[in-house]
Amino acid sequence: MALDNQKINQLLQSFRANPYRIFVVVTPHTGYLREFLVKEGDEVKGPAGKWLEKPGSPLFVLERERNPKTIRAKASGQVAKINWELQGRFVEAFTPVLEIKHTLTQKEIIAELLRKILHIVTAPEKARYFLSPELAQKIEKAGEGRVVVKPGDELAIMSFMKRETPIVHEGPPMVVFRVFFARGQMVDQGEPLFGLCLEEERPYVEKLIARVKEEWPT
Amino acid sequence: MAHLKGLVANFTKAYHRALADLKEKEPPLIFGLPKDEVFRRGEIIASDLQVYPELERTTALLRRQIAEDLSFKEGTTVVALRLTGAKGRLGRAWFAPPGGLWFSLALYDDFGPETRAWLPLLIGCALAEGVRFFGVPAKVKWVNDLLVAGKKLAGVLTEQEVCRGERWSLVGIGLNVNNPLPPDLPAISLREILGHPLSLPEVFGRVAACLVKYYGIFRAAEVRYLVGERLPFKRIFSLFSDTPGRTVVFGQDLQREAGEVAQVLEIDEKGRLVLEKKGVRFFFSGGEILYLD
Repeated sequence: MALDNQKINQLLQSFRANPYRIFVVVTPHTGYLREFLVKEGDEVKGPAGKWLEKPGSPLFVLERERNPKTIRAKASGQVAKINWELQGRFVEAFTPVLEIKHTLTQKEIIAELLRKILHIVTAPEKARYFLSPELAQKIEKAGEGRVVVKPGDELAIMSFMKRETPIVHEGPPMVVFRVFFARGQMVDQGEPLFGLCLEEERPYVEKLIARVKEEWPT
Repeated sequence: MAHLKGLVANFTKAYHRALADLKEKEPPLIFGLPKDEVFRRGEIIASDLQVYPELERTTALLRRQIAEDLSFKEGTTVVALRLTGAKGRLGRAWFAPPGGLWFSLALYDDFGPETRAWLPLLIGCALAEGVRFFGVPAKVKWVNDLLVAGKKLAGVLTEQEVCRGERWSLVGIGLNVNNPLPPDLPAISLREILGHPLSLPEVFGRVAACLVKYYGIFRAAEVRYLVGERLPFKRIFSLFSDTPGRTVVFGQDLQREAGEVAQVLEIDEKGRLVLEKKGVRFFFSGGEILYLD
């Protein structure tokens, strides 16, 4: 995707118009939906704490074989739409129950924008990932967003089932703008590993991030 | 770089001699598996043998051959007398001067999920049996490092390659035979242990013959596992490894992180370490360990 000032304005405009994300809360399994614990307009909180050990706000009670289970919010926001007709009824697994309208934070907006504008290298398998030693050394020296990788350069090492697989860069020379994993982190298949951009696009990406920081204070 | 025909002949002859000797000495049943079947299944190893005076990495050459050659042969084995860009785990540099045995082999990876993790461990067992033939009492440190008196004699790096939708396991092996060793590394060579140099083709022949045996065991046992029989791998590994019972530091990358200390209780049926720390038992399936005792 070619990035220029016009494209930047379009992207920012789309987030200004809709700085929300809607999370649809579904039933995790079958059961009777006994009771709603929120009403439309209520503010709810997602899990918190260093290890997300503090559970989210209670949303509704789902009962299976006389075992009532409180289903809690996995994201913070405002309860937007509740399917009241489900109250007291038997529901299948994955039935949409309510929606949470989540206001995106500055960090989340930047992450979403980067996903849209960067060339994302995703994890081919669920495995542990390590930055290749050469790239790690270059990034340490020059900093993230300053290192250019050429076709055939090793980006990362995937380690799984006592085997290692090099992840090699393909395509034109690109700047490693973001590394989305920590050393040795277990990454799910399809999750982003790297965000790359063309050298000439880098100033625009930096400008875009600067403008988000200006417009959406933390 | 062209591979050396004369050298190939030496390596091939030594390999066939060692294989014939091993076949003759083995009992009719190897870990409960018929000897003929074991060797028949394993004999794809070194079926195409290439020897080069110098390469950057033998595994990189196999990778290129898999990509370029539609009729690439399983078991292709590439030996180099010297490597200029050898790598160990997590891209660590590996010193591979002339005198050592540096080779890689390509195995078609259609292994079952229950057996896949065992292949690198059995490669270590094959190496141990190979060097024990020369009178060297090597032990396998989980996953597959070969140690003698706490010093590293050989290392194995198994890499994966997916090409045209087909998965390959590329096994890179480095064995210190007659080569000099950097003074600051806890490494040892066969020459240092035995006090005299060994013929490189002879060492290769013996190690390759043992790889045939253990790869054959791996394949034959895998087939029987599908019909409900038990895998013999845990028993095999216990014959060569001194890891169970040791106090170890474990972690993903012990050169960059401090790791944690635990006691190794055993190796489980999936090839994982069963560790115990402060009365809590847990599994450790990937990463590395260092012996503390």
